[in-house]
Amino acid sequence: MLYYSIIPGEVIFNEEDEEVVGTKETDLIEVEVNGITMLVKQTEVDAGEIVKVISSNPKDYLNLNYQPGNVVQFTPEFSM
Amino acid sequence: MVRDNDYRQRINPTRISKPARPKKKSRSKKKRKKKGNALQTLKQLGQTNLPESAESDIHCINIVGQIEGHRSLPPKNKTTKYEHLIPQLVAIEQNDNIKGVIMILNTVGGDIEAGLAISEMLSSLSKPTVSLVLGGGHSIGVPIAAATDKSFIAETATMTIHPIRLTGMVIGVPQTYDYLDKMQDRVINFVSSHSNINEDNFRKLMFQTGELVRDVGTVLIGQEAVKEGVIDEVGGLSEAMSELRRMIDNNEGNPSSSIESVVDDN
Repeated sequence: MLYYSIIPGEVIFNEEDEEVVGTKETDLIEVEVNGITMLVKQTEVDAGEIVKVISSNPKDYLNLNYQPGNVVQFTPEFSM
Repeated sequence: MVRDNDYRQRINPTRISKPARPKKKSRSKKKRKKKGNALQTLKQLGQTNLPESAESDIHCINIVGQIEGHRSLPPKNKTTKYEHLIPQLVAIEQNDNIKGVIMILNTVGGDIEAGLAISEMLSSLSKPTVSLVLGGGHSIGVPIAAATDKSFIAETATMTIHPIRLTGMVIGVPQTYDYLDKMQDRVINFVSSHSNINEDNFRKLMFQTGELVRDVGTVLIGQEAVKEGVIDEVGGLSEAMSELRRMIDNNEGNPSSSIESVVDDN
């Protein structure tokens, strides 16, 4: 794999530093709410805090309900 | 939560009587939800209302940090993921309500395959595209900026053009150099065919010595990038947007000749 970046490879792939729990991007869940993709940090079983909205539509970033820090509710579902 | 405290200090006390606390359950559901959002927005952004805007026919794609492709980078890296951008570009191509795209670039480079893929997607998009380099558009950011119909760079923004480096296992054989040279050619060919700089000049910039402290290459700042032909114009958001608007109007005015005019620009 090739990287073309001004940041040296050893800096990009340096993983030894201590990590604060909950700040890792892998701890975030990617969900789609009303057609808008967002990264959510799960705070409760059925709720999460919006961390980042991912969209190409500038209007989505102005939606008051989806500002980072707002809480979105989801329904845990059983499938049997 | 240092950030929260900071915001609370700045809030005018007459506008909010008490600091944020758990919502009361007695209120009706609808009302409670509305107030919760306003309060949350106030806490996070320091304001309660954001301007309402009409449906936008221009979409904006923002590339920050590293461009992430085949491998997830360690969490300290801020990344823009390839798998987020590609579906957005496909959706933009398919949606008739979207008339144009503006790319905002502030990237340090990243995965070469992902970067070239985004560049190819952009250059083959049938709708008008404009790129704006803010801060920095380094390494693989250069072909992405060049891929759009018209590129802009902020006066203070920089672009670093340098050779590709190999990470990981490097075998000291002539083939290694040939392989790197081939990979480099992909970038050089793309940039020279999508901007005003020719292959030889771009190669010269790439292998320039004495410009960078620990590396071979060139740093182009604002106007210099335009002078070398990598970027079309120096400008900011308003210049980029009005150019995009002009291209959209042109497109709608005479749809039959629009494709030719885009090809001519390149």
